[in-house]
Amino acid sequence: METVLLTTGYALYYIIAEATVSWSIPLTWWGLGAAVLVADFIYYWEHRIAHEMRLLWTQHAVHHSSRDMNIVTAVRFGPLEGVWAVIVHIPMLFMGFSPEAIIGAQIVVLAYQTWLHTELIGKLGPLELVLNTPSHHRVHHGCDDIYLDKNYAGILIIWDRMFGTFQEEIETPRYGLKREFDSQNPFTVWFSELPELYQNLRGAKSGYEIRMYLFGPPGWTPND
Amino acid sequence: MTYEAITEVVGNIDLIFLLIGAAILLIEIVGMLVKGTFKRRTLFEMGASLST
Ligand SMILES: [Zn+2]
Repeated sequence: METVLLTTGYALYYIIAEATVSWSIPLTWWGLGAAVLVADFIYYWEHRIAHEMRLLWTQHAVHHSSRDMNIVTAVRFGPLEGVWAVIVHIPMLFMGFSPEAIIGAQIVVLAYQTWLHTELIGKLGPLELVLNTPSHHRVHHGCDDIYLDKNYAGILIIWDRMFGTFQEEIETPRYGLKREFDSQNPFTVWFSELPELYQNLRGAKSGYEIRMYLFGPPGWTPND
Repeated sequence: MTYEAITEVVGNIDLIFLLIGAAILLIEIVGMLVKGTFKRRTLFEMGASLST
């Protein structure tokens, strides 16, 4: 699925670039490095918004619904999560990055995160200041109150430090969703957030409520 | 840098993290087997993750 989305994304970027952008940052080492840096910054916001907007959370919650934290968790994604990733990187085209550089940078940012999903590696000294590490990412997967909605970073943890979402790992987190969810049935895992969303939308009494259920934060109620 | 070169660089980076991940996974599984914490549930949770 991810491959299909990346290929579709590449084609979309190519069409937009051909039609609208007349210049491009050259494909050099520094060009690719800059693309990774920008893609990592965008990833922070892509990820943060996926936690803060209910419609996107229905997809990203799949990644968070495991009670275990091991390397296999790294490949757990919502069926349509990649669509948001493709959309959110479009501005990079208008900054002059080529479709190849954008897709390449996205792959680097995602590939980096594989090794973060483990309890095997403890804290890594001064690297913890700059890089996203297994310790920082365990916090991100924690559902304890102090760990909720923290450490959204891809490669550089500096984005969380800059935007006020950083949390140090103090004690071993309880992993998974805040609500009681502990299913290993693939079908339930893929669509776990949808039944409640459907119920909420059916019960909505105004356009405002429908908008808030879809685009407001997860857990929003009309009483908020 | 040509299109082929960028594909190769990104492919290599991807491969490096894949190999690191595979090594960690191996150690995790051996560790769980030794400690006796590798349960049916662990395997099914991994299956659910891989199914996505
Ligand atoms: Zn997340």
